Amino acid sequence: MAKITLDNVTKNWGETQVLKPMNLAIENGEFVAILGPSGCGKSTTLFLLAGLYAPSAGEIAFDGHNVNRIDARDRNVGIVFQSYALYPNLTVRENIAFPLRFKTMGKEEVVRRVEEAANLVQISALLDRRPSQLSGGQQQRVALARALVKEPNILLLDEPLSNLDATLRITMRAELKSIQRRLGFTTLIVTHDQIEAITMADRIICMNNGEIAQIGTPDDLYRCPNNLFVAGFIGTPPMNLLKGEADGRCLQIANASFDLDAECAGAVTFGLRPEDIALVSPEAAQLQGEVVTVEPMGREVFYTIDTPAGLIHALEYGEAVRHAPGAKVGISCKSDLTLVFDACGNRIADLHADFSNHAEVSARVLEPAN
Amino acid sequence: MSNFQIRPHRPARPLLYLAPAIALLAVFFLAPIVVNTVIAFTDMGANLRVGEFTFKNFERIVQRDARLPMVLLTTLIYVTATLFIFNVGLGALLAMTSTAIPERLGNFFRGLWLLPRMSPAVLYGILWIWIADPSPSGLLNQVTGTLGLPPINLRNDFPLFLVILANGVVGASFAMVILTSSVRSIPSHLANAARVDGASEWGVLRHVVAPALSQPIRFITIYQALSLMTTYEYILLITGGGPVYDSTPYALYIYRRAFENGAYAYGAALALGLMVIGIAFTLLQWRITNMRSTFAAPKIEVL
Ligand SMILES: Nc1ncnc2c1ncn2[C@@H]1O[C@H](COP(=O)(O)OP(=O)(O)OP(=O)(O)O)[C@@H](O)[C@H]1O
Ligand SMILES: [Mg+2]
Repeated sequence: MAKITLDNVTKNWGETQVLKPMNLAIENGEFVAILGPSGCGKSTTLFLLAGLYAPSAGEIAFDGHNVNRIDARDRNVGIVFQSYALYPNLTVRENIAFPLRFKTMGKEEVVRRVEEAANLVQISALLDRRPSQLSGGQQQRVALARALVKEPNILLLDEPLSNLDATLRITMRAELKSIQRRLGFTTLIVTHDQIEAITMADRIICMNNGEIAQIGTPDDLYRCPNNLFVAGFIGTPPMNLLKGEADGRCLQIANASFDLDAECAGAVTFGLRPEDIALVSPEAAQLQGEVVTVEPMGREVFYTIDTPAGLIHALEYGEAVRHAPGAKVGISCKSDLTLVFDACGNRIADLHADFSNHAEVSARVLEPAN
Repeated sequence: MSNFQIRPHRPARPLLYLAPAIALLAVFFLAPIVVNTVIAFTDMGANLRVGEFTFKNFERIVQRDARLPMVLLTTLIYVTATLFIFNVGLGALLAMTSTAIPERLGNFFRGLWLLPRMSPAVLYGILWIWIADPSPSGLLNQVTGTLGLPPINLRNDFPLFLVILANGVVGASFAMVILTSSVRSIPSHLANAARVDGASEWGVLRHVVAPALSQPIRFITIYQALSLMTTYEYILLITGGGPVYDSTPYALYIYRRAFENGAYAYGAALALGLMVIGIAFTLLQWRITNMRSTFAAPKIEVL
């Protein structure tokens, strides 16, 4: 229920700048995920929004009002800490009710809200225990209930589901998303789980080294990563990044050369998603390699292939293992959405390498390879 | 064929491991109590000779010692005032303030407060005697002198106040050290959670810091109350318990009776009383503060 704007916000700890100037606008009621490697400043960003850290420079605004000087307690923000931060001397019930102590509210109202919040996260049976008597996942849910109970304008979640088992995580994910839709608070969730980010969030902020590497819808980040960092970070298994040399309309990768659809020159990196790779017979492709490992994963098979351009990962859908370790295969591409990054790591817009053309005709002919 | 060597399981022998501790306790704690108890039932004087076994000492405590009620009152005032104002109150305040300021400054500050504890008692006593000296050259009187006030004779007019102050300033450092580590061990995100939940800084102190300190404060209260009841060296050095018996708490009273008046047996009987008071007090505290609930189960299972 608040629009968040960050205008050149930075955070320094002594000499080191852990957050470089950050500009960001999050719409009212939006659900945004922050993804990034450990130590990139995700928690710091949340703490700045919560008012627990003061920005070293720049302006944070809620609904257009500068909140730099507003205390954490007056921001009506709910937060779930990475380490839960439950009050050890209070019972679960008292923990959840704690934020309501500071609001004028009738006793019955408090009881009602606490029970509602506890139901939401399925901990009604634990209300009289102390945090030390709970498992990690249960503590996490108490923390979530405590953040929700005061009906915040902004909900900040620092890896709130990391300690739950797989089933509960999926339930909680859906639950959280539906609560958020219903109550409409603006939500930022920090997570290491890309599936979580992709399934829950309207937009994803991908951070690296205290900087926003890219903001966009999950699809944007997956399909059109702006730079090598995002390309390599988003997606599991990660995108294959092959070093090559561009010269005019020709791209040379190891001993193979491909057509480019626009002029380009210099060292480039070529990006190809594992699931976009088609494994064909060696003669049918420019780039060949030898299968090193084969990992059947149920719905798909994961291959690692040793090529002159380095190790390449490929995913093939279907249960059948079609190539055994040691087999020679050709690397082709199913999609025309191949990406090319310049020497600085930024994606060259509207430049694609034609990886598939050459192989396509022969691939059809030689389909039952191996 | 397994690679495990199967060793015969030997049951642990708790008595064997506890023996050294039990021996120490017996020699240094139990034996003196027994000796003291025996002496209390004799007429031993400064010549150390025992003439007869008697109950006279106890009769005297209960019926004929006119100083005793006054001494007990002094003890009560001395112990409670020192304990709550300084040993716990000031200690907690020092712990909280010295952890709220920058780390180095805090360490320096705490170091200062620890100095008197590290310096010899006699030196510390002399310092206070100089501070309280009734002549215009005493430190306090130099201050009052510049303010144009008449000199004060603390040792004569407010001996109990002086004694409480001198003991409190030293005593506060114990709680300060323990509570500092308690404050430090509070995870910072707890205070942050409270702030986000709507607590003011005062609320953080009340809802996060205070609960974390309550357990160590209980311990400090029991421990320091007992130690205040039984120690008297600063009092002996600074006022000597005087004027007359005005600043003589129970422990010092025992000392004065036994060694100033040479009534060893009577001192021993009084000491028994102190022991009884101490035990009663400990049991009471044990009950009130529910100490048992703070005992954690052993981390290592001994079979
Ligand atoms: N109080 C502090 N003093 C100095 N440096 C700090 C402080 N807090 C955080 N940092 C530094 O700021 C950087 C960002 O920390 P932050 O906690 O935001 O990381 P994060 O992205 O949340 O990582 P994680 O995924 O491991 O939780 C880190 O390099 C960290 O070392
Ligand atoms: Mg973090």
